[in-house]
Amino acid sequence: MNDFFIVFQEIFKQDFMIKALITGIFIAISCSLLGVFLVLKNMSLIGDGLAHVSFAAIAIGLLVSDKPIIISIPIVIVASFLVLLLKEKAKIDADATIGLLSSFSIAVGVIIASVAKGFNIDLFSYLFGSILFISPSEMILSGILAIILIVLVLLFYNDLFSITFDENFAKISGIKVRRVNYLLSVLISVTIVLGIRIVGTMLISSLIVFPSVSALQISKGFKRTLMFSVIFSMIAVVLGIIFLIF
Amino acid sequence: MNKNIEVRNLSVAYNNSNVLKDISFNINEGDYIGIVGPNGAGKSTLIKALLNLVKESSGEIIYHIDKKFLGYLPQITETSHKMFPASVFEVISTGLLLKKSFPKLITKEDKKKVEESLKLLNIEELKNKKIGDLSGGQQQRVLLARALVSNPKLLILDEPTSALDPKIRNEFYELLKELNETLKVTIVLISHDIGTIGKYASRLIYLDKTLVFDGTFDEFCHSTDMTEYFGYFSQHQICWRH
Repeated sequence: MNDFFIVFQEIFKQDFMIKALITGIFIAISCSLLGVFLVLKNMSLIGDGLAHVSFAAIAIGLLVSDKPIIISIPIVIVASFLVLLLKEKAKIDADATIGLLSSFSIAVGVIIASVAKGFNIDLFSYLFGSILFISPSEMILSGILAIILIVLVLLFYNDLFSITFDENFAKISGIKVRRVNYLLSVLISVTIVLGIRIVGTMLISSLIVFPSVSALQISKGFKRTLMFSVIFSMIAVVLGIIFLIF
Repeated sequence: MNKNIEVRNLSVAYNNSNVLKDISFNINEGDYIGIVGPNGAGKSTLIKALLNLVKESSGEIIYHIDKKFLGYLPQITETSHKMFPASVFEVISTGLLLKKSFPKLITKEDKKKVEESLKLLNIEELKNKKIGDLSGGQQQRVLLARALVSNPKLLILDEPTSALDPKIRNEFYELLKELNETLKVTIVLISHDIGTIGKYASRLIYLDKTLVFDGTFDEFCHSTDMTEYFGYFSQHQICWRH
């Protein structure tokens, strides 16, 4: 048992492990908070869809610069706006648009990857994540994002709750529903682009859907659901990293 | 009579087909208006237009009442809110956001108001229950409490009695009557139950894309125009209680 702790201590003396743990927790907080709203608005899969878009966006980013994250954030934001716009104007349900976007982006990503043969390996690290190779700037960005999200949820808790429960009623209550929806889209997009460094395109959706669906099973109130969702996601990330070691 | 809302030549179109055509009427203070009409007559659309949830394609709606004093009870369906993790208390308190500006916080005073509206609707025991665990009728009463918690002066209800059993339904109508008579709350109510609504509402609006009739229930039953429109038999069926 003593050996176990010594190994443990040694590992967490490593700089990259600390970075992985801290960034992982930041991303888990962002994903799980947003996840509750998305799942309840029947948009659980938007995380998956936008992750696919960011795969294509990262491929484009790698093609034109060495900072693919910066290039892909705006591309993913535009895609998330497209989902909202098609829902508003053309009455196409979000799940259908997400289906269109996912397959289209994967196709674009694969085409770009095979045309520009040079960066295949790097691109694949975005497909499944590479939590041990987080850069300091990515850690800081994830931290800022998590803090912004926590502050927004605290300040606009009642507005967000009202919108999630009954959008029409929220509109009548004078809440700027449209503005809030677009703001959420921006936040989801940034969360996903940063998150795929940790868990990868294929699995980012799990950090959004699993904690919130688990929290929904056990809580009766909205505040508790948010809290449980955050707790579950943090446990998942910490356990994940510990399993990674052994 | 003081006007609450004026509707002037209102038309609403979805995908280029008119759902409502050239509707004009006033909602006056203290009115109890029953809006009736067949399926697809545009009743819900009219209410949504009154609440600014759909855009008018022509005409206008003029408000003589502060929108903060509107209360709204939406139509509920069996499946709504099935797994939503909110307590009855939380749901009702969203009714108070209408009067708040940033940051919209629920104060101690608000909690008292929520308790009062729970009491008014006789659902105090549901306070901490999860909304999705309630029956349709219970949910409807919770949503009515949400509409009433802000002390509205104009209450708009979209088929409020569809999920209620006959006993609760009568209580519900009695409650609305009381609100209308004692607190002078203006009520606009959509219903399929034209016989019952005739007993309570002071004004009847019959809608079928256009405004077919606007007047008292008595006038409706004695109008020869309406006899022509519905045929003697149907009109008699609607009016049999009179």
